[in-house]
Amino acid sequence: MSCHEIRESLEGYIAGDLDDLEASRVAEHLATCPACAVAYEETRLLVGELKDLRNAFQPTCVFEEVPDVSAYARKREDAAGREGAAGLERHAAPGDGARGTRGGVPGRSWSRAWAVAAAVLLVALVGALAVATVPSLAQKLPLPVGSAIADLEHENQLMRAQNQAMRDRIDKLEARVNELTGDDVNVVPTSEDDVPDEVTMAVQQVVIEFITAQYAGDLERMKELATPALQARIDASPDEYLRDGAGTVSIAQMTDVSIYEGLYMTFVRMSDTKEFTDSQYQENFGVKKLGETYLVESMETDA
Amino acid sequence: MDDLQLVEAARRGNDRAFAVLVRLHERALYCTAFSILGSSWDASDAVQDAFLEAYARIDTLRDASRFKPWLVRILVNGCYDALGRRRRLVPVGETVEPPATGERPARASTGQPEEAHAFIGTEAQLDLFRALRALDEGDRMVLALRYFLDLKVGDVATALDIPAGTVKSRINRALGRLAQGLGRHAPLEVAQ
Repeated sequence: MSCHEIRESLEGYIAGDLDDLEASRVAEHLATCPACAVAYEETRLLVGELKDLRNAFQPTCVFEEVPDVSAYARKREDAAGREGAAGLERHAAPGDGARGTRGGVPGRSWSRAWAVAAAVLLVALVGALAVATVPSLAQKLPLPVGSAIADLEHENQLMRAQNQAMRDRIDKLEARVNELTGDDVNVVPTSEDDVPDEVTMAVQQVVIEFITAQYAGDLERMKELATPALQARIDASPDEYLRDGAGTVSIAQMTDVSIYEGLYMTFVRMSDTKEFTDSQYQENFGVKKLGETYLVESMETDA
Repeated sequence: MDDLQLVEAARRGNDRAFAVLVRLHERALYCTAFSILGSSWDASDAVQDAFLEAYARIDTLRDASRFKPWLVRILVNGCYDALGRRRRLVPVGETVEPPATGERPARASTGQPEEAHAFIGTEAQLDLFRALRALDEGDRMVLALRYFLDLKVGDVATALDIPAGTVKSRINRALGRLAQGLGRHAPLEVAQ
């Protein structure tokens, strides 16, 4: 092929439009002809600049790309996994894993309930964030498309408001938990249950006090914070609950509170300085309200 | 959801699906119309008209996978119409309106509609846009369709109703002229 023919084909070569034979001929020529190689680079640069020019226009009315809902759901799960939320759904059987020997109430697993609650939440979030905003341009379209777009926008505003409300609520819970623990605790929303914030805070408080007593080796305090049923189990096998000698505990993450079979539940991810300083384990708490007092009814350990 | 599913849903009367199609394609159509017409107001009108026409005629689109070239064809025809109208109205020639920048005062004060899009590009991009705008209509049309809308040569040919070979040579020529407009030499020409 002559230089002239090569130049004619360069644009298609850059776009990937040439068939394999043509493309390999162009490539061979470029490898041996410096002038055409320069032309190739210059053309590629110019084409790239042109393609980028699209992005130089910013819609003043926000025009988000419509995300692929399924891809978004995967991304969301990945993000949750990085934050450790996925860990809340990853339950090992009692006795499984490094911390499994630390106890747990056999025969009762909340894992499924939590996983379902988390899945419901995930769907709600995906539904919320998959709705993009509307262009004012398109709002000028006549009914009924204009109204369909207006509906999208309206729903989107509602969802954004809900997301913001959730974020505000979590911020508030985190501030409270951080105050109680002195740790930088990440509060993870897991449930759509309408547990009032004061209940969530009371439940989280008793749980944090219980954990503190576990690490202080303070059996009496633990029992004060426990229902009679749990007191009996603590008496029967105190070693499953005591953490004295495990060093200092640090709480990394807590869920907000959900209701399952009449119990307030929260999961806590933490690490201590005894064995695996950089590994976390999880305690799953069930809390009951007896009279005016919130008491721990059950605690199981997850790896 | 890809275009195909959305178009099929829209053809069955799902306005929400059409609304999503509007959102997906609006920006690329707008940039294309702007580069052809040189006026953000005209471009906005052309894009809006194209969507209106597409909405009204979507049941005539036989092959849903051809939605984008079909939509572009509608837009291009609309741009030709707008250019034709302008020639009748403004015989002294085209005016070239620079793309609006973010700093530009709001049009509301002058009673004109709010700017639909702001130019947020670099100085170099503004130069490129001006060079593009300085090309003749046919040249900037092929470049806009090829690079803003990512159309295949065959689809550009369909949209403009010219042979694919003509599209190829016109793209090469337009790239050369664009490079020269930027003070570079035309890369696709072989030095004598």
